[in-house]
Amino acid sequence: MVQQRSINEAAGSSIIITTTTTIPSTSRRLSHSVSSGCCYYCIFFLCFVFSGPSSLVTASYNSYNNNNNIMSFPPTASNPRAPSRQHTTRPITTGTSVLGIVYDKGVLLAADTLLSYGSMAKLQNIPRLKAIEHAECIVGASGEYSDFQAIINLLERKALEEETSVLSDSLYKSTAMSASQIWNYLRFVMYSKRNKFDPYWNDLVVAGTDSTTGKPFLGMIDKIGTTIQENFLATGYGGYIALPLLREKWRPDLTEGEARALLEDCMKVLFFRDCRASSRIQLAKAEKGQDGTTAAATFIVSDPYDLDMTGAWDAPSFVQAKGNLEDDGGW
Amino acid sequence: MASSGSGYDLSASTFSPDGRIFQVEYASKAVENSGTVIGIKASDGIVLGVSKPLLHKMVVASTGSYKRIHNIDVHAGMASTGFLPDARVLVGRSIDEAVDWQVNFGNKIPPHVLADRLGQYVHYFTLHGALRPFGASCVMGAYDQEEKKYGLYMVEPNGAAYSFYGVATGKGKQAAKTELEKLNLNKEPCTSADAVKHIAKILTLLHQENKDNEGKPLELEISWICEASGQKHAGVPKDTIAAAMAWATEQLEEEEEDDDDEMEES
Repeated sequence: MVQQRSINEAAGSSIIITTTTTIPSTSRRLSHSVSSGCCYYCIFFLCFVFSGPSSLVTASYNSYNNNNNIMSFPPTASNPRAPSRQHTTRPITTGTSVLGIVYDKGVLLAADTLLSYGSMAKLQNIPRLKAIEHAECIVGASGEYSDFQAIINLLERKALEEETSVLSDSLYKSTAMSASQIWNYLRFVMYSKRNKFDPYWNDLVVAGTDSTTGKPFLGMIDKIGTTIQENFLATGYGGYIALPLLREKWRPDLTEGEARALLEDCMKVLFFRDCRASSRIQLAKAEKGQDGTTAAATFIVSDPYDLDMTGAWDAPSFVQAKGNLEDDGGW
Repeated sequence: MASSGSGYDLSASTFSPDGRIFQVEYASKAVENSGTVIGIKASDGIVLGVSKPLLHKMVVASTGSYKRIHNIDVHAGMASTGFLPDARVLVGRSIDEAVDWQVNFGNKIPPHVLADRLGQYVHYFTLHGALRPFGASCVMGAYDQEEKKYGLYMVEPNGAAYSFYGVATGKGKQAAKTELEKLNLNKEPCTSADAVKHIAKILTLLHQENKDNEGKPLELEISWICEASGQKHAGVPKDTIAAAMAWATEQLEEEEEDDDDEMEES
């Protein structure tokens, strides 16, 4: 211990040490920042780093299999080189864009049903839009699918607690959470996770009605906790490809049929241009009740269905590739 | 009665020489001084009824602050009596248990598990010197979605959670139990609609018998889990309750007249 302390003092006032270790299936970045005399665990690390002439890389190489067990943290006596904090740096199984649009009586959401595993199209029939039981909303997500499942779990639990709450006025009144309340709650969740450098890697879309105004509600929360409420939204690549189309075509008095046609058109364009999109999509509708109350509202998520892509591949440039490649291609 | 404790009643973690825990018994006394709760297990459901004694003219009795029957989950409900704040804690705990079960196992908590969990929780408070027992009894009814059966349980301040065909607790529970036994629920269960009427009648009878209640209106809260409510815990529709109360008053008047006639004849 005495020896270690002297090394620490000798090292000077402020030292920053970074190591990057690469593991076959995932990549994680470890960063330690050390200033003298303040971090107990880093004394071990310093001692290790400055031992002998061996370089930083060789040192970590030597102990890679034995000590640098990344699955155990925080550092303990038996594994002092375990990282004290891990940062998620990328999602693994992902979904692509979710689109949403407000029409005259409610909100329509669309998403494709493809689960990508990097560049592999892993599963082609998975729902990315979910109606939350005991809450009056539909939630959709793009990004990491396991985080979406965790969020749905969280929301269903929260919605059930609120519905059966001791504080409800009577057995005859429903106290289900509305879409705007769910949206606010998710903002809190996403922002807290972000502040711990461990975000839910999703862009979430919430659709339903606003509890205060009674109007249709469409909102978004991204993985760093930014909230946006708008008449039309798109996450992921949809933001680049579909949003300009939605912006051009949106009117406050769109009917459900027009909104659906617009969304399907955008999904087709996304299938053409987004490498991680598929032509099998799912729609979800959150509509106000006839009498305007949320009690009579409908929240439906459709089954996945295939877009009609007949004639899609007949565009001239698909049929006749440019560059006269039928011949020798020019050489 | 006050001196029978003498030294053995200071803490819930002390037995008396004759094998009683006085603090738990005193907690039961708190329950006996509060409004009556009746639960009936019918052939096609469970009905819970509570009579809410009018505390005070100034209390707004119709709002949630004085609610005695609560939803624990979609398929489970609980009526409580005794110290209402203690009862609220138990309701909150039951909600937590139900939600936890759903999150961990993916289906709705079965009635016997919920009753057992709540019984364990209540019992914990009878083991420690630093904690006092809950001064509330809970009658809970729930629907088991796998077995397709209903369950009626009561959790007492000592932590006992038994399954019942018919149960009564709170003020006037002896008289209520006698009336329930007359209904012969273990041999011939009635329907939920009839159960609502029986509960209305028993609670009205108890209300009338108590001379303190001269001129005070009777407030009833009745809820059910049955076919009519789609196996969900819901308040009995208010017109059904009103009809049941009218029927109950009629029945009680007839019985009084019959009694009077018998008295005259003899």
